[in-house]
Amino acid sequence: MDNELSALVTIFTEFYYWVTVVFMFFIHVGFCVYEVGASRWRNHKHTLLKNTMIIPLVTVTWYLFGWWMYFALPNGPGITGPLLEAGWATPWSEFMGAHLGGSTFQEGLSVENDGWWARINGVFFAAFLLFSWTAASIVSGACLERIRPSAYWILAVAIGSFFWVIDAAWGWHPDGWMVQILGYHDAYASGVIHAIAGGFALGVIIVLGPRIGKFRADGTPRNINPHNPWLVTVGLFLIFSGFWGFYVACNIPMLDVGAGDGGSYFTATNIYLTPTTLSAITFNFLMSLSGGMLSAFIVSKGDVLWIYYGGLAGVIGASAGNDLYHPIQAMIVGMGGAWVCYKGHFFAERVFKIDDPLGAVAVHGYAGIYGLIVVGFMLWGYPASMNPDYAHVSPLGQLAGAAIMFGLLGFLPGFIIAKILSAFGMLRVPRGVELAGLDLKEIHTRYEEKEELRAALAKEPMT
Amino acid sequence: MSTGLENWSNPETIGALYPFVGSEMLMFGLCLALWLLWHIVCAVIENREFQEDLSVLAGKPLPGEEYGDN
Repeated sequence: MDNELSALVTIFTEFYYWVTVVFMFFIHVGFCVYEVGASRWRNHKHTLLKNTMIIPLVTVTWYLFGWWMYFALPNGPGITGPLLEAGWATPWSEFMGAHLGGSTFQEGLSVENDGWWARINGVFFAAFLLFSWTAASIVSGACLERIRPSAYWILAVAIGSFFWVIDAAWGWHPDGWMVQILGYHDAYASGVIHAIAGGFALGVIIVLGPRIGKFRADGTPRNINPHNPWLVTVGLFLIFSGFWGFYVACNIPMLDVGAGDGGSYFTATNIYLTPTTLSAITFNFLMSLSGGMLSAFIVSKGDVLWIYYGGLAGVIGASAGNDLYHPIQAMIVGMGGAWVCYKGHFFAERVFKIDDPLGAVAVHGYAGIYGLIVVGFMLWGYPASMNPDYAHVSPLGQLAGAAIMFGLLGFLPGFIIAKILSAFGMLRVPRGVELAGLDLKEIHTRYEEKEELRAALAKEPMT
Repeated sequence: MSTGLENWSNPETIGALYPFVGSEMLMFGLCLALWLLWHIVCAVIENREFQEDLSVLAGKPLPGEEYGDN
């Protein structure tokens, strides 16, 4: 911070991430609004409560261990190397609080190596934290109207502050072992956020079971429509808005990548520190969103809710390669994402009796897997990193990546934790409460108030 | 409680700004304990609420059944 240019870069970077955090807050607002709109009247308050409490719980646990894990685990540990030092990210680090980057007194910290983090730590922490809220919120929608909130909050911490950050360290870090060995490429998190959260949600809802009344005695599904389609619309638009911040937060705004020939070349990069531009990702975000919406219109025969879901699935399906695709490629890949999402959702519902009320597994899980596989073919042979010794992008590497994201770090932990909670009777709300509604206490209060009112009116009738 | 900060001259030498520098590990332990305790208290409250709900359901008609306006 001793000259204007370095101060400008540092403070611009600080401000850049701060802005993305504000934008990404819309994602969570959107999830809350959307889920309440989709739930039935008797579950509104619990639905809101369930999603709202993600904010403090995932934030605190992200501070306690999630942030450190991202920097400590890129090697596995034990796959390409040991646990890495990350002195600026331990929850007891000086740099995890207000710090001007001057003298440090803790052992292992040095201003020379870690001082930059004194300025950037909080905003970069927050940008990743907002991804964590998103991962947890995706699971929330799948468990709608039947999970105990206390169980969901344990699951939210597990996916939001633990499992997704393992996959981020492995496959969304410039030196993650999946990048090194598999050439894994997932620039805007088709797998790192969406496939893992979709897989986790699937594991949970298989144990949780469908909502009472979702399937008829003969096994055919009932369509339980949203209570308030307008709230759903507003919620989904807010998620779209927040997605802009998400994309921008996945980039490094300004970095010198020109060290190869001794010269300097400053540019925005993706999370792997390979060059891209905000312009490129803006083209591709819009075109993949459009492709998804167009395709969803056709495949759903004009069902407006599925057009929104299709827009999300379009972006998610193209996100892995949206730093490098041509916009028309992004559009076509996005069209495929929406198709896979729609067909996958109804196939799983019909054949496996999966009750995924908001299509969370389909939009995030199936479209995420699809995006990872497609990018393996589309970007086959691209260098996955600035490091020439690391592997290049390949279909096999992406397929392995999809299995790790959706299966190993998503589905499996979700299924196991849900099984444990279920074994202790902690997973699902009692049947009577589910039938009457999770907001029974509030409803009963109104019922009592009505009786009192009726009694009062009987004494003094209104004229 | 002080960070040793006595004035704002030479800001390039200033490090941590928060009070009680040196107690970070203690604060970490406190935060960890509060988080875990929260989950336990939350589960206890929730169990109690569901028990109350079930007794309401056992003794009275389902809300809305009688008046049909919920």
